[in-house]
Amino acid sequence: MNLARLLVEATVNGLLLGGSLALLALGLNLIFGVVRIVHLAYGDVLMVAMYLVYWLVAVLRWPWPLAALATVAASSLLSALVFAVLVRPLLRAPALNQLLATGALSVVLQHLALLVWGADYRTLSIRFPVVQVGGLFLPVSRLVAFAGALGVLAVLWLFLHRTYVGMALRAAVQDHEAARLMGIVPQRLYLASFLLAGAVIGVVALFFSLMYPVFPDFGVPFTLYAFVIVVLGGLGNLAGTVVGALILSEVLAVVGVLVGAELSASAALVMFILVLLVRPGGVFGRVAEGR
Amino acid sequence: MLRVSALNAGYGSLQVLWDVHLEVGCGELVALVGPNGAGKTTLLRVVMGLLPAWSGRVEFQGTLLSAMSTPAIVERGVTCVPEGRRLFAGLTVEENLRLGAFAPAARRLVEQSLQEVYHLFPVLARRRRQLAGTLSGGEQQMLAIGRALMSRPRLLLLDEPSLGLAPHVVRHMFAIIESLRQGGRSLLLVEQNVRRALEIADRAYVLESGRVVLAGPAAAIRDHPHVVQTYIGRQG
Repeated sequence: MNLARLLVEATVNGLLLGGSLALLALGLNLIFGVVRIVHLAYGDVLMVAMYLVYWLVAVLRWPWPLAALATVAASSLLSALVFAVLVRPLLRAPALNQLLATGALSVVLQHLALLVWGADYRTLSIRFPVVQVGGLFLPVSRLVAFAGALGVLAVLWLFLHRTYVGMALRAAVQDHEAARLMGIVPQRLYLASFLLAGAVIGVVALFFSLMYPVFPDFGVPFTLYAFVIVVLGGLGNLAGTVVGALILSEVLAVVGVLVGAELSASAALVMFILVLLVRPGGVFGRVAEGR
Repeated sequence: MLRVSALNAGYGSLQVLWDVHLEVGCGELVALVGPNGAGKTTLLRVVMGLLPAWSGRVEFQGTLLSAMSTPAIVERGVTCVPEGRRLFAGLTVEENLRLGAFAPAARRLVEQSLQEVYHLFPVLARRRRQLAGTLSGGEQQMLAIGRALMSRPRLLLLDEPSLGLAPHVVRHMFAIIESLRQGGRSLLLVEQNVRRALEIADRAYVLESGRVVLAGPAAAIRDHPHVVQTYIGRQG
């Protein structure tokens, strides 16, 4: 039946989107877990990075590899700049002030984008073919993004498990004070987590540019999605984040087919509220310690 | 080696430590005992730079610690096994140990330190790939001590290392603590198990309501009527 095929297609598409969402959420997981700040402009940094991809590739006609490197580097720097200028002075400020500051940054970035690039949807005019696999129609762009996301996830995993900085980041997510007792300087970790999250955002911007047009408030839902995934998967829980991302993207994709794309985001958030009501500590129930 | 003088400190407007004087000499094992809430942990937190001193001085080998950050103090050769162990439960045993050697000087010797800790605690070597949170209480305490040793400290502060351990494990733990003095390492031991702490210590301080009420050789403190009556009790 037609609906059955649509559903299978939606499920596969959800899975393919899940890779990029997992990456995006991992970056936020680092910032949220290490710096303990609610970064409301997280998705807007993604939006800026996507405009950068558009600008470098479609306007300046840079070759892809060079544009990719430049995007990741610039996005990482932008993220570090957000830390140095906005977050660092507010580290000891009340949570509400931090929230207002990053929320304000979100609005500022959106309006700057409106000013610079206008309200039009911007797309790379690259047309990817759609391949047919066993009766399913799959866009090549999503396959590329999924494979790329898996590769970057693997690199990130190695970084977090095999390097001293990575281990220190994971330790700080669990217990800040104990990390200091190990001789770890928290301020340097804060910068490291923003740099790393920025690089990850840059990678996701590259993948998303293959699938979506960019516009000034493109990033807003993705901030929310990333937070939902972090809460579902648990702070500092890498595997949980990947699973959380898959759950969210499947709900988005399947509801999009069954009910309509307009309601898929709402459905995902209703699901999130239900999960929190049943399991306040997230699906995997590893709540960070109280400090 | 460590000299705390005229120290006042506390949280918010609540003063916890009142004019505390305390010294730990080179290679000495000094016990700090007293009831719950006397300020023992607070004193260790001030020494480690986790809590600022209101007034007074904390010196280690002639340098003033009170103005330094915690990581800088660790680099100077002072480490703490915190109360409640504070392990990174979601990291493996070996990752916990490697993090103990985070400071640059310690990191250069990390493989050597790792072998030394595994030699001291063979059970940790067997469980090196296990998550720290899955260890038993005694093993967790060994890991906490091992992690602190990874920074190759000259002064080790131990906060309640026997807390929550089964009696036969406690005995083992005190034997381990005694052995940590090898190589001229100094120890400051905070303990609720006053009798055992005074058995292995050279000198002792009794802290009550944030004030040092007794100080002297451990044997003398052990026989002091106040200590016998309050902490040790009558026994055969």
